[in-house]
Amino acid sequence: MKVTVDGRTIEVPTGTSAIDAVFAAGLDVPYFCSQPYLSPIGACRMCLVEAGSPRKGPDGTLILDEKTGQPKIFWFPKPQASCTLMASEGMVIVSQSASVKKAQAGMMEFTLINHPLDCPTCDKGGACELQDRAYEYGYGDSRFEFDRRHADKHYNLSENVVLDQERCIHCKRCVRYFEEVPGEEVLDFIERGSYTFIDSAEEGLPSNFSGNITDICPVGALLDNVSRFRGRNWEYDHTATVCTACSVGCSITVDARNGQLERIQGRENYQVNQTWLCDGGRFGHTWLRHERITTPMIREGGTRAGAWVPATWDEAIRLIRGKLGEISSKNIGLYSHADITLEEGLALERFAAQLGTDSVDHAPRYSSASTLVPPTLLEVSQADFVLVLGADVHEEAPVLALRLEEMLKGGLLPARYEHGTAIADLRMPERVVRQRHKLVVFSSKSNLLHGKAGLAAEISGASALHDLLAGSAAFADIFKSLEAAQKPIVILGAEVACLGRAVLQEAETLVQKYNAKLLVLPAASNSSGLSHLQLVPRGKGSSLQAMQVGAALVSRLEQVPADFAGFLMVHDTHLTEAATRADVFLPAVSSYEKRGTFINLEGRALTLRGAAIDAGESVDLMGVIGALGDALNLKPEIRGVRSAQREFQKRLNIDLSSLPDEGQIINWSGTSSAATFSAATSSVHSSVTTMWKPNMLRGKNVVPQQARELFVGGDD
Amino acid sequence: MPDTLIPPKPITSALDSRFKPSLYARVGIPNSFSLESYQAGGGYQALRRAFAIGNDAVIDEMKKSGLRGRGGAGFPTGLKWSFMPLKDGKQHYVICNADESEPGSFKDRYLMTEDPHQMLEGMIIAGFAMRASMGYIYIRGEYVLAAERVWAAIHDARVAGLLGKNILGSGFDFDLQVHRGAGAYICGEETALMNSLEGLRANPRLKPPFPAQAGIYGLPTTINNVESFCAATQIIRYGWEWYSSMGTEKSKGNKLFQISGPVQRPGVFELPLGATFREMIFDFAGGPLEPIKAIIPGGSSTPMMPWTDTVLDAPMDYESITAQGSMLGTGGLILIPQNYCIVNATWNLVRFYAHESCGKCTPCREGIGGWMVKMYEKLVRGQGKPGDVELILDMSDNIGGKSFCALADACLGPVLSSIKLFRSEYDYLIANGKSQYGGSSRWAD
Repeated sequence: MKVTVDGRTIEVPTGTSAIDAVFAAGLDVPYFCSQPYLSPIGACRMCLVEAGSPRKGPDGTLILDEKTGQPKIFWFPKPQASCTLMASEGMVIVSQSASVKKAQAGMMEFTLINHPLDCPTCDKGGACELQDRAYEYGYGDSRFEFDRRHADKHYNLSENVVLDQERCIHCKRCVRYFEEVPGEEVLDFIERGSYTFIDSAEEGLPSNFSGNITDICPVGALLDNVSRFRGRNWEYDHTATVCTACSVGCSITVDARNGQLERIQGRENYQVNQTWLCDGGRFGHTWLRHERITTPMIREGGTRAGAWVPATWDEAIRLIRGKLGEISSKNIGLYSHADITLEEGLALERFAAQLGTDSVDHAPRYSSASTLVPPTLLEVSQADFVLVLGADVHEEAPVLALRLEEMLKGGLLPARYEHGTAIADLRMPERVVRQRHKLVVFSSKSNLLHGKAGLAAEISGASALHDLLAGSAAFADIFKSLEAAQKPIVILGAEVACLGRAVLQEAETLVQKYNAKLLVLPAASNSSGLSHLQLVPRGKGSSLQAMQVGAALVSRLEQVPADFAGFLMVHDTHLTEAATRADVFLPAVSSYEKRGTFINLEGRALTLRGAAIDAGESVDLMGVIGALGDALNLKPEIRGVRSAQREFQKRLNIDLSSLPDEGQIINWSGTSSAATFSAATSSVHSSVTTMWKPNMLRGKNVVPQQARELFVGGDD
Repeated sequence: MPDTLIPPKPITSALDSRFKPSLYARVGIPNSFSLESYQAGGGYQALRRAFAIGNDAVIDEMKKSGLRGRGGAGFPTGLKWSFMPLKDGKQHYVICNADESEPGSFKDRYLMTEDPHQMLEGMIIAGFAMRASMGYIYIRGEYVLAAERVWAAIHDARVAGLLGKNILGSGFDFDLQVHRGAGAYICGEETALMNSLEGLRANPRLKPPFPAQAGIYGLPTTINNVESFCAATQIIRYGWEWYSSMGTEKSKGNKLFQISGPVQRPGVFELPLGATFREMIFDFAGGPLEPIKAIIPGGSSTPMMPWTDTVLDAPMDYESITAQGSMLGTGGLILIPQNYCIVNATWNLVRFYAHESCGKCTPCREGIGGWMVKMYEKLVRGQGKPGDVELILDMSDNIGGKSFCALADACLGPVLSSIKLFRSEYDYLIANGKSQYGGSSRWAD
């Protein structure tokens, strides 16, 4: 379809809106109410352009201009809102004329008459769409001489989001966002006309995804309360990285100021999180700056009873050398949290091999992993039937719940252009009726997904799975749906996945029977990557639960077995419970400060980049392994991200140092893969799931309570 | 030459002996709203005829009749009905827009209180033609008596087998439900009405999709005004030839005109389209009580017209009034007397639109609701400055045609026309701090 924008004729796909045609032509038009991934509504009326199209006569041919002999353009009498105008073949759009500029400036004047213009005290200043657009397209002055509208200013909508009703320009992005993306209608306009204001009728914002409205608000009406007043937008160092709070791997921007992490914002990844984040990932970063330890510490007097005293790395290494000299290297255990990067995991694997120790493990992890290729998140949103067994998706992989909501809406994805995701995709209507019959949820406790499913029951995922395999008559409807579905997906949550190989085998049988895809929600953020490395214990007593070793390095795990009496080296950001029993404390960097690669639940490799956060003398796991190597006079095989990535280049034939921004699905076949993992775990005592590290929201676990109870019981 | 070859001159005056009132024929009869009275007058004959000729023939007759929507926009009703996807097998809806809120319009109110069955019959016929099995009547909240009468009529019709399953043995199922609005002018906009009916905030929706593709609950829907449904009843009852014998070339049929302001007999009058303002004002309303300077021809949103012989002798039909720079609208005439300040009168209307703006789009919310009304208040208080009228004109240019729905444009109708016709009054008020017609006004609070 050919469209002419200000004299430039461009080719755009059918269904393109006029605003996207203008951007596709490399021109700009101001807008406030449109937002990629949301339905266009045409409320702000800023994106005015002049437009006209050729028309066909009664004989079916284009009506020609008598003078020029070219198709005659029939112009709309007035400028049109380009976000709600569908481009058509031969359409002519004028976005840069004087009359368009006048119309836009006039609309800007209206938008600003009731805006308080308190930019100097507004957190949005410097990153404000209204500020930018007023500067670019406004008169620079106002003829409005009356009192501005006064409304409630800066009060907390919830713990995390603060609302300033006076600053609101009524673009309705937040209202549409809640209805369309998480499907939780918690905000709306109240009153009408010039008295219209945004508010919630309920206490707070009962949604797991409320923070996203602070990203999409074009003004400073909805602000992130956690980062409020902690910096101006131009003072922040922005780092594009990936959230490691769960296994989804949302793209984020980490904003640091003066070496301190202050704010996390969503970053677009069409494949993974679109632009959305969960509240845990967005707001749950403040734990990092409280009581963080950034220097090595050793005990006064050299006994565990002694108080901690800060030390240099040299002192710490000297102490470790003295202790480990008495112990056989096979008797050293290496244990880490399962959110380490792939590179750190490889360093751990190689170092364990170098030591010759069987005692290496990562936690939390399930005792078994599936060998089937998981569906991608886009495939989840495109699925025509999803069966969720034993999962609390909103807790285990929150943004996956948004893709399920998208699936219920029919899986319509916005178009993509060279200038980015469609600003206004007219195929996306407001208030889509949810196809609830496409979702079935079974888990022992009711969770948020139950309310969205066509069929949901509080029965254990494992027993439902068992009955499904047995062909229970009670599930006749589900069998029918599974058979009719072209792209069915089964999602297994922690409640089922922790039960071990036999149950996983049942799930694999079920999905193979119906040609479905199986998505097992990983136990921790990088579990799906680490499961392809040799990071599981191989002998009796070598697991993290038993920990029958003379000395152990425990990296960022909260607990060690109560009867462990050996030399304990704890690598962490804070003085955790495990650290209180340690002989030496080694400071750790957080995931926000690391460089490396992270594999999400769909097997997608995503790049972590270190934000400009002052972490003192903290090091990552590779740094600790280097220190241990120093102490033992060994030269570790993997000593940095680059040497690890060289090894992965050999193993996987992929260059992890230059992954595309959207990440890349990794094909692990042909490597020592999950098969090895499964074989190894058959001799493993049990999973190490009592070692849950509370996630970034302290006191609130990523894995739901019921799964936690199951884990504590063990799966042997 | 046989008579049949000479087309008879169309009826364009209610004084024409061939003209017989139909829509309002029964208003005034005791108990005109009861089913017995309605049936005694030949009620529900049109429905029987519709069943006899079939649903496609009904749409065809509606198209041929030339009926144009009586809610104000004047879109051809038969064409609108034919937009419904007749064979898609989905649930279809018929909605009656009885949210008559336009200042100056009050015809639907009496149609509902005095002759509700006429409207119900039209809705059943529409439902039959458009394969709908459900209809909603969205009645303005203030119309309490109308809602009660319509409810009672629906009840009587159900009991008599005129609503419900298998109506009159035709095999056609149809039922009606009354919904009372909560007092918002914007609910008269069809998509806002559907939102309100669904329990949502009454904001207009994006079009396309048009209601015939995705209306209420996302299903094909047709919305018509009360008078349009009543006219449908008459058209199907007497045939399209009778209906199109009235009116002008492009504006067929008869219409209810309302008149308010200082006239002898304000009220609702049934005239054929093409009757002149003079006939309406002098022959029916008995003439003005005091000197008049402006006429609002079709409800408050239509631009004012000057009180001149040219205007008075112009036929009241869609085309002629448009040619004169205004609109037929709902046919609600408002006369503005000579000795009242036009700025004050316009302020009264602007206040209404500012109050009724839904707040969805910027030009209406901020332009009308936030600014225009304050400009007028300032002028009326005598605090106007030179340049204020130019500012109002420039604001109007920034608002006009750029808002989401027609509400903002409706407000500009009286604003622009009053400035165009009575600029001297604005200038006098600004220069002297008070109106040349004294400070008081019948519209002041």
